[in-house]
Amino acid sequence: MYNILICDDEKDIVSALKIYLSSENYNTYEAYTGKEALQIVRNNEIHLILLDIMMPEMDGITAMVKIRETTNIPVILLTAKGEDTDKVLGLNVGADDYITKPFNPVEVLARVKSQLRRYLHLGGGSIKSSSLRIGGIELDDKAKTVTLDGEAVSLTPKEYDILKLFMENPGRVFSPKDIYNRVWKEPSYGSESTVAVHIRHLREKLELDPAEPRYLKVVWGQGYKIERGGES
Amino acid sequence: MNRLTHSFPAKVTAVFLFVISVMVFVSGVIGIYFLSEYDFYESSMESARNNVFEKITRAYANRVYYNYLPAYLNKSHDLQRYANEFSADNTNFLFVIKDEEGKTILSSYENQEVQFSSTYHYEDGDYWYDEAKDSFVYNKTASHTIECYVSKILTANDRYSTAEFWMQFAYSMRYAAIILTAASLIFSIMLFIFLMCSAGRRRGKEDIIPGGIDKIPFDLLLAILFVIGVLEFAVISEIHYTDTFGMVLIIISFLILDVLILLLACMSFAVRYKLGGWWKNTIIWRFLHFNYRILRRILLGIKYLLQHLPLLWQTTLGLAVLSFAEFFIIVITEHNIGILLIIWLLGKLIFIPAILYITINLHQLKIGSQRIAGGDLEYRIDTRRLFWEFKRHGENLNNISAGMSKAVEERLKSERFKTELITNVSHDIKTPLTSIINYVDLLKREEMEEGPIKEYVSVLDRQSARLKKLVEDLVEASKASTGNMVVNSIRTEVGVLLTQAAGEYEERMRDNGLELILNKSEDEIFIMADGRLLWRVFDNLLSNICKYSQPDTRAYLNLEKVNNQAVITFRNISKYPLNITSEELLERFVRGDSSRSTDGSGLGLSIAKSLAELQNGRLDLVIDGDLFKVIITFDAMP
Repeated sequence: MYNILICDDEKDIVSALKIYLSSENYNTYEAYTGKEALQIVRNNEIHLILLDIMMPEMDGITAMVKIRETTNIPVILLTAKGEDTDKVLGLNVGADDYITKPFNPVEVLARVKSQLRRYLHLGGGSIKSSSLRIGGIELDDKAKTVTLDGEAVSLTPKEYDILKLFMENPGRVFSPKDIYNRVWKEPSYGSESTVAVHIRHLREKLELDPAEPRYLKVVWGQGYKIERGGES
Repeated sequence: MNRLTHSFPAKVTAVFLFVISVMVFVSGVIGIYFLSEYDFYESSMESARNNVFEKITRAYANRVYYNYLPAYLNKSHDLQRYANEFSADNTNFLFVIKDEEGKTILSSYENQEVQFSSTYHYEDGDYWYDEAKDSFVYNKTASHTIECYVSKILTANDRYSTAEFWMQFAYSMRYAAIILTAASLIFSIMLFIFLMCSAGRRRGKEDIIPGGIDKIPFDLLLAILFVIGVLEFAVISEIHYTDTFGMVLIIISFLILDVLILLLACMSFAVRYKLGGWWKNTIIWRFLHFNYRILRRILLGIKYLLQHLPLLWQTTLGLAVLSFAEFFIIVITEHNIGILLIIWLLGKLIFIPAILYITINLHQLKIGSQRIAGGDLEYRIDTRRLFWEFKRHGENLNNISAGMSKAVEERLKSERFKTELITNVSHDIKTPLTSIINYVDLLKREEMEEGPIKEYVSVLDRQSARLKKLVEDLVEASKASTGNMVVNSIRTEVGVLLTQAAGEYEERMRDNGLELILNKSEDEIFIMADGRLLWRVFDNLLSNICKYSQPDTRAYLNLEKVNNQAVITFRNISKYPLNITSEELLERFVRGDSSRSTDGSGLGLSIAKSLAELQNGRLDLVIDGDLFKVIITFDAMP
């Protein structure tokens, strides 16, 4: 049983989230202002917080900063602000993830699960010498297996090779032609779009929201890369 | 102080004291002048006394020689009078007259103690005309020597004793005089300031009240004063040397009069100054003012006439005057080519700069109008150097551009405001929308029989998803169209981007029964673009292709370099008849189909166009029957 704090000034949203999280057997706490959230975090053992940004009395960013003074638990921000600058600000003050309203409940659940797994099971877990890890993705080259937040992901051999290429060179941008040459090991002759299709599949398997990838990023007009530190 | 300045007796007293003080000052200055003349400041009393005694002694010697000696020699009846005059009782002057041989002729000196002695020589003789030499010859007849003494103790009351008395007094007073003069000067200045302050003040009145004298024109007043001065001078020069005492009296009284008059003038000036515009009550000013008004009217009249003549008539008139002047000059100088040439040269010296100046003015106007026409609404023509009609024209152009830039600014402001409004409103819409989507989802999860309720829930689900998309598109459209978006343009390979985009969409296309065919040249084509924004352009266009293409057709995606431009073409066959123009399609909220039943906001094309333009690209639509073509053009980079 994990304790999850839901903090939003909109009562209906809190109730809806409570229904979803309860159905997955999470124990929920409710707060409607930043102050209440702080109170609950202080008095209870909370494992994850869903925090709205725009709230009366104390906004989410301020509450976020205060929470980070004492604890390290995962915090997912919920907000109607979709601007890039808002996202960057949220992540910079210590949020672990970011979901924009209106959100898809399934996505919220997936992200909650992912954050909890990483926080509780993988935090500081040992890495096998043969394995590569970026964020929640772990690639074991001996066993030829890939896990995402501890759960096995099944990949085709080409997808596996592409992912391995990225994980061996985190942060580096590969053009479709590069990838084709290295993975297919033959000149591309204009079949780079195959690469794009494969990467699309890879993203669908590894990302909660393929349109907003955390790990496998598209650098439009240049190529693809995996983010060095996982999500940014 | 206020009470004093407003009190009449105080003023009268001040005037009285002022006159006295000035007189003291004047006499002090005169006294100091004489004291320094007699070296009272630089040498001792003795030498000063010698100086004075010398002068007196000579006068006495003269009197002895010219009056007493002849009377003595002739034994005239005046002898007794002179003997009496030069007796020890009446004078301290002692003398011995000797002739050429040194024999004493007459003497009053009996070896008394003396303090001053001096010897004078006198010669008698006459001039007569020597015809042989043709000149006047002087013939000495007699010569005498007079030894003069002044007795040590001045017992008698004569000029010596008087001189001695005054000298003693003056000498003792020589420093006091300076102090007294300075004090009287300071006192005079203080009184003068007081009088200036009190000028025009009356008891019980706050305002400045001009007196009768203050109504006389000031220059007239000065003229009267000047005439009085001249008259005084005439009187003094008339009575000169007749009576010393009387003259001194007259001079002193005139001096007092002058001081009074000058003081009056100064006070009058002070009153006028306090009232302001002291120069207005002068004959000169009135005269000038009156004439200026007339002159000004005439000039203004001419100016008005000229200004209201049409430009053509102004020019014609100017040229006519000029031609007449030229004609006149030619006529009067018909016999003198030299003068004509000089005048012609002078004319050119004036005309060429004038024409150049006009040309420069025209040039400036041209540059200004070009800049303004080119959209630089901040540009202002410098009208300081322009003149005449050019100046007015320049100002008009400036006004146009000012008005336009103001309009543009207001438009931008309202656009920004609109974007802000849309962004804020959409934030507010998103919160309830989140609840709707979540609860519809919860409803969907409930066990439900097949039937109307399930159908209704699915409608809710679809429409809420559409609403979500609509809100997102709305924000993006308003941002893109107002340029309220950060664009990070870098060198981008379009081919790679197209490959990536095609890869993203390949499966969706296949699902919709479409085949995407990508044609691109082998050469890499680079453009300046923000990859993320350009992807959004392609995303919108490809998504449209998926939604609106006739199933089982092919969609073409071409990239080629034409005339140094990267041209990207999207082509597909529309599912619906395109009974609409391309311009209308690009309008916001317009879609090719009129039913509006499918998802999408109708903003996709508009957003794509705005985003392309934000990156300095172009987006054009071509509709050819059912063929729908989007052409995106960017400047290719080397």
